[in-house]
Amino acid sequence: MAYNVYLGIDVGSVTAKIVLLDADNDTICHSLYLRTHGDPIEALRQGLKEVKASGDYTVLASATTGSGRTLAAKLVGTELIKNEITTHTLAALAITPDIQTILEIGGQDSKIIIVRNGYAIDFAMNNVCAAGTGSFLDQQAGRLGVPVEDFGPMALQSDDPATISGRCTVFAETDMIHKQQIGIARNDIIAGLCKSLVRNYLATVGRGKEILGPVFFQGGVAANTGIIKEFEKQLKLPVQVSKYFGVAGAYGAAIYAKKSGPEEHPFTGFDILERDYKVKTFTCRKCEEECTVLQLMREEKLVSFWNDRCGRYSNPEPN
Amino acid sequence: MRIGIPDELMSFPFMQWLKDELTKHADIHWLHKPISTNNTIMLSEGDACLPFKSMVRTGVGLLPDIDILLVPRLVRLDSFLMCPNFRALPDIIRLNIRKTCPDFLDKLLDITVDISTEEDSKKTIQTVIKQICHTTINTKAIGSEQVHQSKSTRHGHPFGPKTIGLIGHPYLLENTKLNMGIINQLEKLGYAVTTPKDIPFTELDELAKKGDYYAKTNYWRSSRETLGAFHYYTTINRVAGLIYLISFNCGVDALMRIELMSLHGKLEQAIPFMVLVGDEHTQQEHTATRLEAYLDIIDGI
Repeated sequence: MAYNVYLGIDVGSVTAKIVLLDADNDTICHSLYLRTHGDPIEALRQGLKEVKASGDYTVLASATTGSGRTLAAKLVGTELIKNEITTHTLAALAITPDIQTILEIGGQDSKIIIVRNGYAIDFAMNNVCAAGTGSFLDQQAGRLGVPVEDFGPMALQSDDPATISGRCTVFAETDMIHKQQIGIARNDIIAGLCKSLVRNYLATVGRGKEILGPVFFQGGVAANTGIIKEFEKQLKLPVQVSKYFGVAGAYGAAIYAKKSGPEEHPFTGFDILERDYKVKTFTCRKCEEECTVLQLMREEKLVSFWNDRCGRYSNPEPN
Repeated sequence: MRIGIPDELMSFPFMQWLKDELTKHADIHWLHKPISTNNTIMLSEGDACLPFKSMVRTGVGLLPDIDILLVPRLVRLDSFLMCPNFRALPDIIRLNIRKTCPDFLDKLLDITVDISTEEDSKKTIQTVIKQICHTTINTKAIGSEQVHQSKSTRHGHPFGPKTIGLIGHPYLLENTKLNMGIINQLEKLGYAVTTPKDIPFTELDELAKKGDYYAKTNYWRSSRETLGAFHYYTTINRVAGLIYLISFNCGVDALMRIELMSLHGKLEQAIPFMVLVGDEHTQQEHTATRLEAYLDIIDGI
């Protein structure tokens, strides 16, 4: 039996997430969380392959989000592209309609969204510095030889978190190495790291925002129980973790696809399983912007352009 | 005669006034942007913001195609102080000419602009005309400042429901490279954009006086403009949303950012307000994400 679904894709800096939303009952019938390993096209191909093998689905509409949303949209042939602030808000509201604050920490982005009466009214994202995001936790886990999944339970075992600088990852790492060299236990160092990341997040991303409960936590880092506890301690508020925290962006994208209604053209996303897709780039020197123009190639044939600010290639003037 | 003034400086009404008066006394071909976009020359601008570096590059880049490079040493405009970087601008440009093209050193003409009244402005214009055109004119022969000010907004029409107010330094608001093209981006997304360029400085200053957050009067010209514009767009002629565009968290912007956020928190009828910091975004996608999310908030998605 074929299921009618809405497909949400979230291509982030470290991971790609896919969610299939049942068109009839709004439940998630399939979800995937994949590491991109620097190759989002291949990650997407693997993901869609798995989706196709998992059931007989008819995709009514698809939408993409995340920092790789434009690339993903080109690959699956959708025009529904939505920023990650909005998709994370849609995902959180679908689970808990009365939320007032959404905390989100992903691979290299972190954000806070202030929600009132079911609508986002304000937000902030981290700047170009990725201090305190998932990729830094990953990196430290690798350095300490601890699976990142164990960070949370280890942090919770600490009674005396070490003081770690969280403002900058370089300083944080230096601090952590210093603490390990003077003999401080790993649990205390990891707990100190969780504490400093939360402090840094609230001081930078959350600066000036009115954080009211219910507070919702999403993004890959929400898997870390040490960070959750620290948020609760520093905010003095209970923090709920979304049941779909890892795939919240993709879930929100699927909801957005559903809100937008079935697409006119049938879904062609599975095409990337059959054909060779590549992205080529060139620097346009027609003006001082010098855009890096991206070209999607299907079996060496040009399919489309994007990333040109003036639209000279992606949206040329008719002759 | 070919005279160059860096384009970034033309966002100040006084510079346009000076240009118009000079044009009355000599046959001048004006140039504000370099003809060649070869920007491979490594400049020594020092540790400064992108707009300042851009002004230095524009100034040096103009030199091959002009006879005189007119660079004002902006100390004070409309009786309020300018960012101290402006006082050093002619010196930094001179330093870079010496380093990259010393043969052009004689082309640089710097003038001190320290203006509190209309009479000060006229005397400055008189001095520049004398230096460039070798003509001494009476200040009474100089046209009125009013011509170069925006029209009063007191009888302005309400903005349409899809109008975004963009506030910040005038050169940031007007230069697409410095503002990361956000006006174009907003227009592409279906919004109209209004800036304080359409409001006379005297009105902005009046508004700023009514709502200064700090006990001490903020004496920087750009903060008077920004604060006045904030009050105008949030209480007098409301826009759908307001964006404060800054280049980086420097001096007056670091203060204003906190002041405006505090004032925004006290508004009885708040409108969506966002601070966009150019230096925090290396790619246009970063600003696009924030703009799209911000517009979704305005649209209630």
